Amino acid sequence: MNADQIIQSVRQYLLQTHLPGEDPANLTPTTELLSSGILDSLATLELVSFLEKQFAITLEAHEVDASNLGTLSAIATMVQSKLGARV
Amino acid sequence: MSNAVAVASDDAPSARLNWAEVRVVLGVGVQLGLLVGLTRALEVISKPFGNLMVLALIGFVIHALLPMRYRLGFFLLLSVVGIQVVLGTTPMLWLLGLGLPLVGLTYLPIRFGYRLALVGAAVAVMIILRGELLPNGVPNGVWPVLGSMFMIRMVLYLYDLSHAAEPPPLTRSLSYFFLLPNVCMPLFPAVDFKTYERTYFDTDAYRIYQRGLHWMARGLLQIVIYRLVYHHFTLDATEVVNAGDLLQYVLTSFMVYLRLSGTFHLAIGLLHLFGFHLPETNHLYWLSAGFTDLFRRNNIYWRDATIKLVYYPMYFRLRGRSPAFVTTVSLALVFLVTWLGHSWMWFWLRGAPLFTVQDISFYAVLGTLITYQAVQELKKPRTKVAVPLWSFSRGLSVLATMSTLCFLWSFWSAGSIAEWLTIWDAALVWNLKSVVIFVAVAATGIGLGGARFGVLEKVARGPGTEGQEARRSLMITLATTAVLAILANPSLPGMLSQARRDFLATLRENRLNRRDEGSLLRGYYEQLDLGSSQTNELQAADAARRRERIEEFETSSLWQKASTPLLGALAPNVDTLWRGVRFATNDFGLRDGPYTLTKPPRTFRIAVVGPSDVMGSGVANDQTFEAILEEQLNARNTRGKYDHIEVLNFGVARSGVWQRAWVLDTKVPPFDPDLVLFAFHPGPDRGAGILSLERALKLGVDPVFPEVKRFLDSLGFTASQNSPTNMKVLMPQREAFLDLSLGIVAHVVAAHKLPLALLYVRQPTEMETGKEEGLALATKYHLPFIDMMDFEDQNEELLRMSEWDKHPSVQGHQYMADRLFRELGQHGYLTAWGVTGPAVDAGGMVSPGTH
Repeated sequence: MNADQIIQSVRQYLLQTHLPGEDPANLTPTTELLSSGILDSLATLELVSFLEKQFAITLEAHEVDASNLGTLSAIATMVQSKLGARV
Repeated sequence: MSNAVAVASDDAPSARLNWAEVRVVLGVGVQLGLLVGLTRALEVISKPFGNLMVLALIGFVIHALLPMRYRLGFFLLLSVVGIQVVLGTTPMLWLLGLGLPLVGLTYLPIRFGYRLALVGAAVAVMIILRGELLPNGVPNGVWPVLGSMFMIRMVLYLYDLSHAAEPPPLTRSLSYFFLLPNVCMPLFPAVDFKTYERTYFDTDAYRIYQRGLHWMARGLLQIVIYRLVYHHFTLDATEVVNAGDLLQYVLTSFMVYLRLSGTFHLAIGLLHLFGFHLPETNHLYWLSAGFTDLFRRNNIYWRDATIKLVYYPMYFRLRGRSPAFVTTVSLALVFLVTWLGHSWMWFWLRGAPLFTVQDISFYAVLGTLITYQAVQELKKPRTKVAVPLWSFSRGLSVLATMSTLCFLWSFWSAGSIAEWLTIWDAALVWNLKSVVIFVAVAATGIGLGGARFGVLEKVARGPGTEGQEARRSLMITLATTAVLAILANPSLPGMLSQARRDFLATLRENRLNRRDEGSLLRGYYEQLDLGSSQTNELQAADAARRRERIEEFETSSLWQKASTPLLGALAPNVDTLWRGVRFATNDFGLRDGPYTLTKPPRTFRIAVVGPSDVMGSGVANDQTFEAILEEQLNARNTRGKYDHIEVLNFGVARSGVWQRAWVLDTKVPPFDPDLVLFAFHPGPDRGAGILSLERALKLGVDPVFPEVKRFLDSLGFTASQNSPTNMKVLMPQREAFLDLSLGIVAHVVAAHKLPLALLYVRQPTEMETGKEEGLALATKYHLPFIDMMDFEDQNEELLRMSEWDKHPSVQGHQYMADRLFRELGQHGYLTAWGVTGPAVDAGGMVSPGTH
């Protein structure tokens, strides 16, 4: 699965679940998700659940931070890394 | 990392500067220079912080022009220099000597678990030393800074290290701990290490710098607003007499949080200027519409730290169980850790942990409210609702939330639970002013709270808004700076009336208000467990620690209780060690060497009357200023008229002016002194007298002086066993009681024909308050005085015992003796030798004259 596919999947989830009514063009691969308030701590954990189910990966507590989940690009990188590690 | 404004980029092939980049540095430098000037002019935080800001300004310019690869190292160097500037060389070396090994242990080439154990062992040793369980030579001021720099950030650092593939570069780790502004700010944001790494020059440098300047300006403004509230709206519990006062007391208890918020903005803003694009520390917390909303907005760094260290790990551990259960347990643990973390920091700042009912209750209740609301939110579907320009229901939610928070905060920060309970009597007393205040507060709360700008909207900002943000930051910074510059204008006081000048001074100067003066003194005089808040906790801890020491003293063999105005006396013929120094008394119960009651022939006798600083709290017998003065006088005695000069120490700890007047009346005259020096603290003595009176009355002691009895009768006062209730009547009269007390001194002087001079003193680093009023009283009662309230060019931090004990140190006593010797010399005493009796000269000094 390439990065664009991951980004599209996560973007769709975020728009439906946490940003209903938002212009999709505003949610870019580099939009800050955590520091902007789009995702608070509970919403972040919901995102983690989504990622684990959607991509069949497992995250640890210490991986829930801005470097892995801060932007769509960061999420894509993290997911690809986990998928690659699994292979 | 991008760096669109590549100031002195590593890629630059030549040494030639990019002038566009230099213009940016100059533009930012000018703004920073203005802010530095304002910081110094307005005495923000402390004078050492003003010096640190000058260093930061110079450092910023150099840093911004350096190639990127040198900047972090330079920032580290600047931080270390900053420590030296603020603390001095020896404390800096101690700080480095304690801190560097802690970091070094984390780099040992051994398993992480062993490194963790070694760090734990090192911290355990430091706990023993900080708690003074073993003697150590660590200087004053080092422990609070070490605790602030390491004891929270080390936890975050070790957590990240435990999951890192390899240790970070050493420079980065060291710079993380020895952060430049931290040396002046014992309460500092819990900066996360990974965030610190990730955000370092992560975007255009100019954007980072400008945001930093914006936040620094915001911080300065918050501190000035805090001073306005602190000096003019906060009330002492004894001043709460009706419902309007009650509301004012409760609201302003929390509003002083502005000081902490302002300090945090200054700290993080300053770090921006060195490339650290850190998140904001608070976001419109005063517009929280609910407790979970409050949790998201307030002290964001601490929230993020506990989420990372506690909430997420616990949540992952409990996954599979119901979300409500997991959220409840995880958040409960977060608040338990928050309470423990507060006590942990308190220990490092003051040397003893804080375990009080007020503290525990505050965190328990707040944690419960937030947890409950978080669980309720789990049940609600998440939908985006259009946010109207204004909403009444939202305004009501904000009013309810902030009212509850203010209520809890007032409990937390009250002097005692008993004191807090006394204010609620006023809830039943209503007048027109109370109604107006309630309506105004409700209207303002609902009005501002309902406005759209306060809503934390989830908005994905589109690309291209960064430039707008930087311009907006620039405009706000310049506007705020302009407003503050008007306030700081040195010509402004000259254009104002005295009353307006006094008002202006409260905004421009760093000083205590009446409430905190009162709480400091109450903590010293009464059996109180002082509450704490993040704004006055350092002062409350100071007072609690001093109180513990004086209680220890009064239950020791050095003190004999008695039903006299002093409530006791020093035990005679004692010779022992007290706090590690020699404490000896003579036959007469004076902390002094042997003297005869009858003055020997050809002897000039000086009696010094005063409280604990005269008694010599914390120094040995031969190190008190009166002992040193006696030695100096005799060493220079020409024996033209007197063979010997004696200086007798009548100092007694915890005594107000009226009690010293009793000493003057009963103890001093039999010794037939040729000169009496009566130590007077114009600031603290305003409260000390009324507090010591309350204490004596509560114990059933006769106040002795008719003037005091008439004073009590005029108030219709009868002492109860409840100090807050007593103080509610007495504290408002403290100025009048000080006036009366000095009148008693004048009466005693006349009755015994004592050659007396008031010795105007203050303890090192104590605020210089009440001097003008005190001098006016001296004039009113025709009492001569010697003014020793300024410390000339001395470093006052070195003249006091410790950061929490402002009694003069050995060096302080030496300075007082030298200074008093000079004062006596300048006014002709030392050369006169032919003393025949007191007379007052035009300068207010007792001078040689004729009986």
